[in-house]
Amino acid sequence: MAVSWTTMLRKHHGILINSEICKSIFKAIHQSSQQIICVKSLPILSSSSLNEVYILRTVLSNHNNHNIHPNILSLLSIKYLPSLSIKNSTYFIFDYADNRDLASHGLLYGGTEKQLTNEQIRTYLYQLLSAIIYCHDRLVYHCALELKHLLITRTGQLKLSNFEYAKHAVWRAMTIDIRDLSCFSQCPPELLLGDRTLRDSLDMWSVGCVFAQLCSSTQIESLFRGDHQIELLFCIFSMMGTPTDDIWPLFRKQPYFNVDFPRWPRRNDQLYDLTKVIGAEGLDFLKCLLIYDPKQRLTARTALQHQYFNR
Amino acid sequence: RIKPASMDQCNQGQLLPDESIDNGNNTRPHELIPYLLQLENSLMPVLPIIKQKKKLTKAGTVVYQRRFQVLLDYLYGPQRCSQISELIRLHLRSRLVLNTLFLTVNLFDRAILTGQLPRECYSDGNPHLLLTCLLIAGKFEEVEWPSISSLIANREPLKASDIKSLEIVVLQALSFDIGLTVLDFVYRYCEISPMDRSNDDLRLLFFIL
Repeated sequence: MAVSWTTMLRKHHGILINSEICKSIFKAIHQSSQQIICVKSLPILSSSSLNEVYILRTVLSNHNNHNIHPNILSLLSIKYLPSLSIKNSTYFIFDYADNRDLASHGLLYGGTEKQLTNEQIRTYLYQLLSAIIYCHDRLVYHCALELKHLLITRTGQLKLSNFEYAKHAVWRAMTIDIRDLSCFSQCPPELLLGDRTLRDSLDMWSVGCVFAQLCSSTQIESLFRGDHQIELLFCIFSMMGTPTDDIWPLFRKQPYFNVDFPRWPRRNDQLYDLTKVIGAEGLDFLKCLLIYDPKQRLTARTALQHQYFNR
Repeated sequence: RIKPASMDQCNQGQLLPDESIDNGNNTRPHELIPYLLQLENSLMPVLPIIKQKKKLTKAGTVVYQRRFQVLLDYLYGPQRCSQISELIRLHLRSRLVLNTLFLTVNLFDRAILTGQLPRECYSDGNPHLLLTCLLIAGKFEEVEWPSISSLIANREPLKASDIKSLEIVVLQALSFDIGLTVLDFVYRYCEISPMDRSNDDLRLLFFIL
């Protein structure tokens, strides 16, 4: 099967498959322009991939220019083979980002350079936030901010990819479900407590989790862990302290609020370990991203004005 | 963009389903229609201008104008009416979200207006294009979209591969702009306008939705 469609891709679109990155994603060369591209083959146009194209092509697009934003992975074109064969797939052609994402970044270097430096973290975070500002201005919420969806090019440019889970907030009362998030451990506390409104603070909590993951030496383990909603919630509470009325005025009005929630004090030791890498300003920034009250949590625009970036 | 069926068409072509089919679990479409009619009336002065513009900018040749007129005639003709009424029955039977219906009709009309589709797939009561649009809309709106095999059941000449190949043609013709429907704008309008005694109709509509 692989031979038949690769030869057909070459014949019709001048695309030469170079190597396989992972299942159904390939590195390829466009013969006429000698550009290295990434081909994603889809036997069936699924719901999520349809959503991805819609978001990238219609909502986020800027008039016939496929390069949307320097920090968003651009969808160059969509090809499909004419119905010569039975297995006619659709092909999404993406820009190629050197086959590295932040999840495997540390593992690739190994040894002493495993830990990212403060400068690296800051530049990556700055690029991520500027991409998120672009999305949030157009009412698109990514909902899948994970390390493996942040690709790094050879020149150190960050590319936000995978808009399969992204939501376009057409009207303000749109709701979201926990299953709509790609990574359960990055679920914000207000969603765990049953407040299902779709808003930008949801992505900002994920940015906080990504930030903490980048700072930690292992990088694989996420900041909060849990298999169920209540386990994850208690993990958040035990680390950040159970919210009081001062911190989060609407805490008691959440749908799943229970008076019997244990009252943990705020622990700073685990977060304090991170200051070795990012310094006191970085820790303050992380705390601002992980504020309980979604209304007080930083938005992407105010986050860029934090003094962590001003040094 | 073309709106879903107009009031006259509904009256002429028995677009409304029988009361017996609706068992109360689904929203009744005919309660929406007065509102949609109002919306259409308010948009009416704008529409001819848009049509003219389309013709002037895109059509350099007379041939294109003629083709465009043929397509428009189809859209206001009885064939489309019967197809859509069949779609509404199918939609009610398979218990889909209301917005799927709106999006299907939206995609259907816009796909025809592009003029890039073969005429066989929608003329003479052929449900090929309509089912494809329903599939795309279902994928976009539903949690569990209708499977291809369930769509082509009892429709003998259609094959699953036909629908799959037409699906990508439709999406390419629309350049993947699946977009918003009238219902989205109604929701948005309900959201921003005040809910007081002065607009009772709107409140009723909001509760129905």
